[in-house]
Amino acid sequence: VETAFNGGLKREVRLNNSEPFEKEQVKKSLDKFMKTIDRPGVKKFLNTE
Amino acid sequence: VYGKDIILERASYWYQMAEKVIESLGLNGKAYINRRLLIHKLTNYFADIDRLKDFHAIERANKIKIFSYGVFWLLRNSPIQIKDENVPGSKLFINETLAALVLIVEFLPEKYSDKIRCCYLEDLRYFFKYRIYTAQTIESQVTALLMGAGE
Repeated sequence: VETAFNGGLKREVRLNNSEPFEKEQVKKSLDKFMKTIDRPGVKKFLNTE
Repeated sequence: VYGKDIILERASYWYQMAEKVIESLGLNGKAYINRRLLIHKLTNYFADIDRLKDFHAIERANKIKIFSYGVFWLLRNSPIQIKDENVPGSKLFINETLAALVLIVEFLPEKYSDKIRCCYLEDLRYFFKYRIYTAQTIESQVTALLMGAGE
């Protein structure tokens, strides 16, 4: 059973992030963005009236 | 706290995504990125994140916070500006479109079809256009998206 205390601990863990969002991660995110926006379905969605 | 390199790198990140959205919407020459507004967006974002880290005594903000606050300040400062009066209504809310795209790209797993991806895109864009949002409500939207996606 999840207690409020456990919830609090989880929240602390969630707030913190050991991964930085710098050079490599930024590049990865950007590549992912470029690929997603070029997906045929997404392109069609963006250009639908 | 945040060096010139980090700010420039982040500026380039958002600039490139904004450029791509303009191109994908076929708005080259009809929309542009206002660099001063983009810098406002970034300084507001870093000031917010800095306060957040101080308040919670944490070293690094998590990914949900990075993108919720990043998208919030994108919407508040709207660095992409339309200069052509004849742009169709569906393409006018370009900052809202970029905001929705960024969240989908970062948080919706790849395995989902474009149909589902576009449903989320439409819903988020609607939310940004017509609902009251804060960085915290965007965080909640992202959490709901992750739960809905079973992540």
